[in-house]
Amino acid sequence: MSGVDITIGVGPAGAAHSAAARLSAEDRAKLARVADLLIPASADMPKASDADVHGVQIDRVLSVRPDLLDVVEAGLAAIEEPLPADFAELDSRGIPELRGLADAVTAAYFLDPVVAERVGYKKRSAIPIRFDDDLAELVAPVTSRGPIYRPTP
Amino acid sequence: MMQKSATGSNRADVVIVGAGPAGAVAARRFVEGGYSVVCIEQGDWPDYRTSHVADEYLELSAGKQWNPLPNVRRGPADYPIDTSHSDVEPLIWNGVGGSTVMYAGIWMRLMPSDFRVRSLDGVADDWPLSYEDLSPYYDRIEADFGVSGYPGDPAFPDITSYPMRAAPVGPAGRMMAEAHNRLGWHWWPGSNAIATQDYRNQGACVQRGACMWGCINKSKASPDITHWPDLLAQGARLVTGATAQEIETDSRGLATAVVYIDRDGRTHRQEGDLIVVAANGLGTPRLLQLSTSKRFPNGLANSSGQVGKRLMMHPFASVVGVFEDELDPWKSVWGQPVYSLEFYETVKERGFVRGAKWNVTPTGGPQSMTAPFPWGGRPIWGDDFHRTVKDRLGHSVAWGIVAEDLPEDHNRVELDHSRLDRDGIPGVKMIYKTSQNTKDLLAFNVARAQESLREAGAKETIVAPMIRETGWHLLGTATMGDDPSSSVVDQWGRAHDVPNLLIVDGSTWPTSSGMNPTPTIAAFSLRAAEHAVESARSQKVAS
Repeated sequence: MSGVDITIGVGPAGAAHSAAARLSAEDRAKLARVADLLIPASADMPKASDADVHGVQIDRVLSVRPDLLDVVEAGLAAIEEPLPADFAELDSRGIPELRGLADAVTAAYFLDPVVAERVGYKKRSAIPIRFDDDLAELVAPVTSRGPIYRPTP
Repeated sequence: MMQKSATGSNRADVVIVGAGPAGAVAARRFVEGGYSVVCIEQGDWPDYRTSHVADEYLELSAGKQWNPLPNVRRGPADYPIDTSHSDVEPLIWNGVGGSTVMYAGIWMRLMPSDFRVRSLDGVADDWPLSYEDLSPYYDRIEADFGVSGYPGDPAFPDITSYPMRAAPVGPAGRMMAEAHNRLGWHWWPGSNAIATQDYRNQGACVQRGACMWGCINKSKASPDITHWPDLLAQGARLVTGATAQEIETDSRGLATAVVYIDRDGRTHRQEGDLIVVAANGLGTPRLLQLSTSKRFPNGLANSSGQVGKRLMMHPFASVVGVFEDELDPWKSVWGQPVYSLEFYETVKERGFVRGAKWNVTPTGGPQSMTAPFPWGGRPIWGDDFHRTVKDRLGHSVAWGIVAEDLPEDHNRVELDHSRLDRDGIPGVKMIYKTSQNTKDLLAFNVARAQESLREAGAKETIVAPMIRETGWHLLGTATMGDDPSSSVVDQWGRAHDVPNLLIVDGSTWPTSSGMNPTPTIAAFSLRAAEHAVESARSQKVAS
């Protein structure tokens, strides 16, 4: 075989660092409050701000997708103060930029290790192939019905 | 007569435009025949260092760097595509390996009826070749692309072996297989261009379920792995970052050279005896339309007026089932763990012609559980967020439905002189409307897919909204046929108007089938290249 010789997962680029740096403390505070409307706490899951969505997690998102900074900033700018009491009220405002912001917040939320552990998904791990040994038995009803194609006339 | 060049000559025996599967397969056959080959490729090699398939950023990177939409990705090799008059967005990757770098690796031959839709169903046109003509080439291509599968599917006449054993069907595939057995419906273990053991340049798949976003294990077959490293070692020359601008012809109407612009903006002229175009259903008509001259005022090889017409794009539907059982669908090949051809052939009572192929598709990780596709546009945030994610994540699987799309002249590709690429070359404009037959066909299959999922025990089925971003299969814009007045190339890919011009990609398809096209594109290219090699003594070339 070729050998698996590919370096993966390049680290954050300088541009990405600067993307995260563009979010001010004020932006992050608003992001935390909006994120909690999007992802409130449940009995067994933390709310978004408890997963540090507005801090390290959004920075991690921007390290891979610096293009989302504009999306986050546009979303925050489009949501006027005072913030509503819940997501339903926020959604009813019909803000086009909300979807992109919600996607970025969601991505940030699932990067939190506690959240990842509780939803049962961290990253894709290598699982060696174990072939099925019962395929002949499984396809027997299909083969027993014979050909289903129309032959070349 | 095409002759093998002396070593050191700047003129190549064969100049190929496009380093995707069609171009790579042709290149291999010409190199094996002892001919010198130069391939002009507008993109670069895929950079697997940017892949995130093994870390927590997979779903994020899939949205941008590994996004198959050129209008989103906006890489340096992506040319402008105006889709404002198209129902469907094209999904392509411009670079070494072509769009197979981003495909799922699903591997389906066409069925015999796909070549005879006029004879059998009274619509569109028969192909000028048959399944039986192509069958031996499928066998050879499957060896070259490291295909795994389970032979004996009664939906095909003669699939008696695959190079490797089928990937595991997994819990979701097994569940659907058992449901179809109860219904008496066809299903079969998935065939995929995914190595299930170490094989030539490919490593054994480790089931990350992320085939489309940078397979770092080299398990998924794409020509940047399966073909080009070997071809370069054998002396083929691959020029990357090179945008073909025009195919030149001489006074006799024979192709003489490909004019291209390199990544520094310099213009070059690569002469060759035989010019092979493999630039896909958009790039190929674009290049032919750009190649105008006094002799070919409407574009090269276009005396029929068919260049750019009959664009077909396989509108795609998806139906999701949500189950109580833990299915962990991401712990498998993405490709297709199982497929079904139960509703592939025409049944007149259904009110439409032709049919669709289904394949089981994983639904992805947590971010994907919140996406508009396939889940619909209703936002899930707020109080429902955690419950909805918990219901879906690891508990859902989809049937992906590929519908046959019949050719219509008004669905077409034109040059767009208002939007230029990095080199000042016109982009393309797609004009495409989904036909009523295709809509009816999809509606029927969506209803049957819901039945299938309910039989498997789904507590909820969700029909994905029809979205624009489904144009993986760009077919039919330089159609093949026996009649030069109504087709562009013959059954060997030879342009009717230009004897030393071959077109070997999916643009040659007279009809689209309902199958994933790469195997047939590759088999057709091999057959065309082999014919060119075997008939080299009588091949007309420019002097």
